[in-house]
Amino acid sequence: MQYIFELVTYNNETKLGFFFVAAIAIVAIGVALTGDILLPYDPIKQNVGPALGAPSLQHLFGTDILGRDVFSRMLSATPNDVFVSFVVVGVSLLVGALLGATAGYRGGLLDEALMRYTDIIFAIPALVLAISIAVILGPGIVHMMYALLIIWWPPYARLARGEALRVSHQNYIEAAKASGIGGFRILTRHVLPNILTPMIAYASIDIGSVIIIYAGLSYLGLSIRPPLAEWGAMVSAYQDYLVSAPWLPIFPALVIGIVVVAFSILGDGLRDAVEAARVG
Amino acid sequence: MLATSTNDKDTLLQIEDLAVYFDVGGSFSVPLLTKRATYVRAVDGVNIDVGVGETVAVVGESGCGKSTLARAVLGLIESKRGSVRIRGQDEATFKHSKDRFKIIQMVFQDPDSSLDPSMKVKDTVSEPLVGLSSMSKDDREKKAAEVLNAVGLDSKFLDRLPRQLSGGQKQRVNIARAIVTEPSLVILDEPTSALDASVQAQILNLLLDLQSKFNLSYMIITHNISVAEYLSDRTYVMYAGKVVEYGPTNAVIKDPRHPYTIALITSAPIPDPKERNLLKVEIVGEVPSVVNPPPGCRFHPRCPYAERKCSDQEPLLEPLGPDRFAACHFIEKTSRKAGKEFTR
Amino acid sequence: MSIKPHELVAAVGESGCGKTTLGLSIIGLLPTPPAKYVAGEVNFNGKNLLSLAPDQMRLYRGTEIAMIFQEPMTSLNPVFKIGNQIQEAIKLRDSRGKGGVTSGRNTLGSSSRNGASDKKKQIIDVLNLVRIPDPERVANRYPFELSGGMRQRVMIGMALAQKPSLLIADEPTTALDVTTQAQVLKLMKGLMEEVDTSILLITHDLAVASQVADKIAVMYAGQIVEEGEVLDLFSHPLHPYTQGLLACIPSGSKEGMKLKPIQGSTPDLRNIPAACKFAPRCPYVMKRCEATKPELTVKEGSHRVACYLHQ
Repeated sequence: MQYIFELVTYNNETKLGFFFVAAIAIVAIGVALTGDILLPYDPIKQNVGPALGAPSLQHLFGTDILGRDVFSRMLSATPNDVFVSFVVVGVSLLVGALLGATAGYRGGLLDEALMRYTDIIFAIPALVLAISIAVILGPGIVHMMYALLIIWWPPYARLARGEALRVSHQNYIEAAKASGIGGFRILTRHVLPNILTPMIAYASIDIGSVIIIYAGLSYLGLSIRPPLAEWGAMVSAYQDYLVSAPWLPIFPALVIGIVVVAFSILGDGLRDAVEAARVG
Repeated sequence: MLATSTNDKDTLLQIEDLAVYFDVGGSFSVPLLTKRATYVRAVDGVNIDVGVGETVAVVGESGCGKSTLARAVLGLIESKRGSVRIRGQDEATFKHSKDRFKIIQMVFQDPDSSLDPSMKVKDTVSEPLVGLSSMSKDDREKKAAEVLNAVGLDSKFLDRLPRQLSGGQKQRVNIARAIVTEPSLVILDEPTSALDASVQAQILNLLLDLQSKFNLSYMIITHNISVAEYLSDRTYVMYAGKVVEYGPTNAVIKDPRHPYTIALITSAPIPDPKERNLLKVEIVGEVPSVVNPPPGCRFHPRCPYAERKCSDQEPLLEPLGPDRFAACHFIEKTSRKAGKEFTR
Repeated sequence: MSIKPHELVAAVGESGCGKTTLGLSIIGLLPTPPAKYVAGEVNFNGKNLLSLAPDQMRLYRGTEIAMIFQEPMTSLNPVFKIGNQIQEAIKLRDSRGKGGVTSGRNTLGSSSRNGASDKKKQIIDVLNLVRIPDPERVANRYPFELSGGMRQRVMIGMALAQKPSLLIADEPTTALDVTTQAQVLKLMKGLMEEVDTSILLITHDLAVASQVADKIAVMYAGQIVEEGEVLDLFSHPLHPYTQGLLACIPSGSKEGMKLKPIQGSTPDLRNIPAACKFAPRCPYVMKRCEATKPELTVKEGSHRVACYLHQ
């Protein structure tokens, strides 16, 4: 607990970042749990306002061609992006940490195999791979997540492996061996906890990356089906109105940008914290 | 092989012809084409005895193999040949390496990297009990608290993390961990090298107290002559993977005979401005490569007394007196009769 | 504190006593912020270095005042050959030689010609100065191919090539083996005459200081608590901290004198009491010691001590 508190309050960036991320998470959880009840308007109901209405007090982000409230649509889409990015990053972190740490600590064949596999993944343009998989599986959020998961974990494995190599040469690992501790327990009790902090820093910036990629893929029409809302899909759907009703594409794009930046700031701050811990 | 003066019954540890080689093969082609061994002969045939309740110092500089020796004795790395007998029992008779760890433990070098930064003190200290005993969690915690007290840390340290400790406190935790399973032999790898002078003194005194309280034997690995002199009963001097001289500490340090030992002792600064031995040191060159060591005596390229024979034939350890041995073809050149001026 | 020409002064103390900060302050390498000079002067040949602008101070660095550090592994740039790095130092010196602050001293191997063979000779001269065997081969090597002792010699060579008046050496041998340490210290002491330089040796090792220093300044919690000629200090240590340090050094076997460590631990420099900083650990502490801070005053000749026992 103390550890988390220290991380959050480490510097201005982490404080700001955590604040925004917490706000986003609260919205996401709130909407996910309560459905559409708390939203100002029903996000798929048409004609709750004038068609192409400019932003006003009743409709903070304006309304689209079908008279739907853009703000409500944005809010209802929040759990979507947040959920996908957290799951993709979370699973990648887990899988990557376990595989990478084991490879780094044990070395040998497992290490070689992991390195070559990640080499292959890195050699293929990630987006192309993701799109191919998504196309094969068909549209839908879950299929999109599968596609992303396949390409997303290798960097974590590499990071974990590098850190595990560093940790494995520390004297306390030898001391654990001399204490009769077996390999599995050394891995879980000594290696994993000590490689986690830099991975968390990387993961927090990475969440922003997932959101961007996911929004991009949605923009291409690969994930969600209308009339459900999704940020990237909204940018795609509204882009033709850039001149006539600019608020329509701009607000979703802006929200994506701000969310990504919030995670980036948090990640920057955490990275500084990690550096300080390593040096000091 | 060589006669040891300690009675076999009192001998706790007997290292015989221990050799540890590391394969630094690199590519396939090098050994094939050059037919040369690409081994680092870190330890190349070492014999050391440690008696019950005795403190033995293994002294040498970087690259001499002392740290590798320590790890091989402990059982963390494999030896190429030779044996490590504990109370007369060959290591091969130990069914499990774990049994060996119950008798021999180690205080690792560098208190900073020897403690897991994510583990509390009480967990670090009780970890050997997790791996080497079947005590319950409560018993382990009790024992950990006991042993922490013994090293001078009270119970408020139990829940601390390493980054909340000073260098001296970290070393105490290190020591506590090493003695929690009540081993008979504790290997100390540079126990005070990273510490300030006053902290070093505290730790040295602590080590002496613990030794008499728990009837421990110590094997101290160090490059610090004064620490070796203060703590140990017998001293072995290592150079390039071999023991070049050994005997009672007093004799080896006050009256070194092997040319390397002389250089080593002369180089060790004495806190006395009237005895500026350091400026009289005559050693040249650097520690040799242990991948392909020089033929014959490994010290001969740097030895002021070297002759033809030294590069042809490797000298064996010969007795100079009761329990006093040195490996040098021309050892008489460093005797007092020959007019050797240096003594400490 | 003062350093005379051709004098080797050792600043001795444990970690946190301020000796490194002192060295960095003299050569002006202390980043300000976060450091701030609150009082005092650093007078070098009559000029107060602390009052100089950064680019003025830079003229002194590497020419009049040189510094070498503890880690020879990281002091040399790993991607350049030794010869190139020495050449860089020489080039810098030559470019400053005109109208710089070098007090007209003969810099080593300086010449007005710029031929390639001249340059090479200058590099070899530097390596010969520090007694590196086979200098041509070494000049062609990269730092990772040399041992720690050799690297430190190269650093010393680069520092002394410009014949500075003062060489500051911050724990130069702490990372080296015992025999290598002896060689390097012997070299440094021997070069003082040849290069016409003084040395400020910063070290935690009182024994090392006793072997090479002319004068020793013992530091504790940011202050000099005792200062004197080396023979004086060792035969009559006045300050309880100095006495404590000496009693800490193991000499002889455990059957002889048991070590007497100094009780307590070094103070937290964030909460400094106004009184004598050693008072909490001092076996002779008096009421006066906890009230006001004793100043460094002369006891006899050049032997000074900051302690109420002697005032």
